[in-house]
Amino acid sequence: MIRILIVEDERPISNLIRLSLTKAGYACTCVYDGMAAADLLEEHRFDLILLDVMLPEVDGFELMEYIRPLEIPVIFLTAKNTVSDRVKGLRLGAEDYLVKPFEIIELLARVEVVLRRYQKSDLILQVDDLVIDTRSMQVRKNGMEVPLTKKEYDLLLLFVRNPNRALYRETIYERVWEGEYQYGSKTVDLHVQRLRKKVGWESKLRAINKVGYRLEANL
Amino acid sequence: MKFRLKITLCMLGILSVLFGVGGSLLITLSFQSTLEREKDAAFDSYQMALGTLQIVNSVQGRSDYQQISKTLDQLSEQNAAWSSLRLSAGDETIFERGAVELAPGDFPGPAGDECRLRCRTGTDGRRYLELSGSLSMGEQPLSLTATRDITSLYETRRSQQGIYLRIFGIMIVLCMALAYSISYVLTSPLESLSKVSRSIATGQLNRRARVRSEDEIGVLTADFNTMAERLEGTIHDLQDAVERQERFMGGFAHELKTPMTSIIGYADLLRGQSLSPEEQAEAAHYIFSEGKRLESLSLKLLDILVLKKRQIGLAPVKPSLLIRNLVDHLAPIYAARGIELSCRCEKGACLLDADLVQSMLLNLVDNAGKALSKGGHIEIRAAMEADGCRLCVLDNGPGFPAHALEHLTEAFYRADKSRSRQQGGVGLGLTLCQEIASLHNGSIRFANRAGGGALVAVELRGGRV
Repeated sequence: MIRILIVEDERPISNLIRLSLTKAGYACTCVYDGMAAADLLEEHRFDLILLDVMLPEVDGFELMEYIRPLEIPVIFLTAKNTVSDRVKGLRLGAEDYLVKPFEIIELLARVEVVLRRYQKSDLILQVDDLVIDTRSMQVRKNGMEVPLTKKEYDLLLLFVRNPNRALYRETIYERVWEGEYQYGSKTVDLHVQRLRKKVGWESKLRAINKVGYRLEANL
Repeated sequence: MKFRLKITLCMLGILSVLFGVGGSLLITLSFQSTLEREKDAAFDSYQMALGTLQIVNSVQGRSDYQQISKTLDQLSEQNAAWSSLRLSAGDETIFERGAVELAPGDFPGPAGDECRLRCRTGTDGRRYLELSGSLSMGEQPLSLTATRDITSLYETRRSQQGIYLRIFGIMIVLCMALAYSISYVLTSPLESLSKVSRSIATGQLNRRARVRSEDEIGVLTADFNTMAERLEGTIHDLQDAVERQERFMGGFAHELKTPMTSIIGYADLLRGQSLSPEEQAEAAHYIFSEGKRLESLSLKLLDILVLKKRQIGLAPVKPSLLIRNLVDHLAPIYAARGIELSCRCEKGACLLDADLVQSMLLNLVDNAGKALSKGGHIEIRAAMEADGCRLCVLDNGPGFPAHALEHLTEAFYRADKSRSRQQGGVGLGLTLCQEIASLHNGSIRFANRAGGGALVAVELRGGRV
């Protein structure tokens, strides 16, 4: 299990991140100031740190100096959106820089990217009888390869990484097609239907009226 | 052209004109007087020769040219100054010695017995004085012409002019060197001034020019320094303002974005329909509380904005009454939390905006209350001053942290962030109080009491009644 340390003094946000990441299958630990984070880092090993910049006592930039030798990837979370702050954060060795307010799905995607870069994310995902090898981008069902197009593969990955979560059509479109969702567009539905048929998930990929789709899976 | 070069050239011009005119005048005058003397001497000796001839003539009687020639011979031998001497009767030359060829000139011959004196040039280029006159011997008028060589006079003048020219040249060179160095010394403060102003223009605002004299340049330098001083001050003020603005914007962005992140995030989780009922309740709670926080932030900000635009309404108010009223209202609420609220007020009235002052006191008491636990005590004091009043809010809590004292009125500053958050603060209360105090031409001070606890003193100078 991948362990993520959340250093954020705003309890609502800290809680929000913990909730979302736990749902996505990560193990989370929350601390609320820099000193506590440093103490915890001495004893435990983490795969990723989400670090707020404006912390009481020791701020995020200062803490970064301490974290760097540990070679743990860091994503900064901050309300400061000036170029100089971004540059400072990235120069200090942060992997990414997420500006508040952010959407949970964006946070999850960034976490995913950083973990993949550090080869810490699970390379092989398994949902019931379906095995996804993210290195070769191959999908097998009961040992038989399922031929998928690039978009169908991306769509499948999005559902598998956000299980039991209603994904809105616009969210799906923005993530997979990386563009502005046109209201009334049937692109998403068309691809989901084809995906369902190919992997045999007619009952698992549930349509939610007027919203989108949800993958119902037991992890 | 550089200023020092201009000065040098001007000085050089004036000097050469004056020196040149004066020098040549001097040489000319000296030459004139020498020439005059020479003429006098020539005239005297000519007259003597003439007189001698007269005497010889009268002694010898009848015209005896032989005798006269002899006398003239003797005379010219005695007086070697004569270059030539000629005695003629009409066109016939009676005596001639040392002939001199003179350049032709339109000179009338001797007339009557007057003596003529002329300067003439010889064909060989030499200068001569020619004297001619007539003397009557019997019926035959004789004329005596003598020339005297004065070339040496002219030569002296020429050599004097040569020497003078050489001296003049040396003087000009000396003058140039002196004038240039003097103007260099005089203009060097200007150069350093311009150097300083250039470095100020490139951003080194703290550079100043050295005032080395009390003349016009010194005054200019001092004025320049004053200007630079003012400019530096203004620029620093502007920079401070920009920094304050940036801090405010940073704080504002943080205060705004933090609750927004929570609200958007929890709402997103809720609509994702993946939460258990307990988690749903928690998410709803956070959305509500963070929404409330946004609301209180926007209200406080609105207060400050309105306050900045607002025309203050000063009216005669008795602070004692105002405070007593406030304490009567609040005391039961605080009593329920185990905090005692009291007041000690001087009598008297002064001009203030009752609504604003009340809101300020509410904020201060609220702040004090947040720092206190059971058994706490808050006291409001009012003292009358010459031009208003002085209000103090004291408590027996832990006091202000030392590092926080100077930041207290900064927008969004909170000495203890997490605690303030729990108590619903947005970090604008004291900013508001300061704004109200400054609307009353007053000030607000924060200190820790010697015996423990915090002290906030507000001076209001709206005027007395």
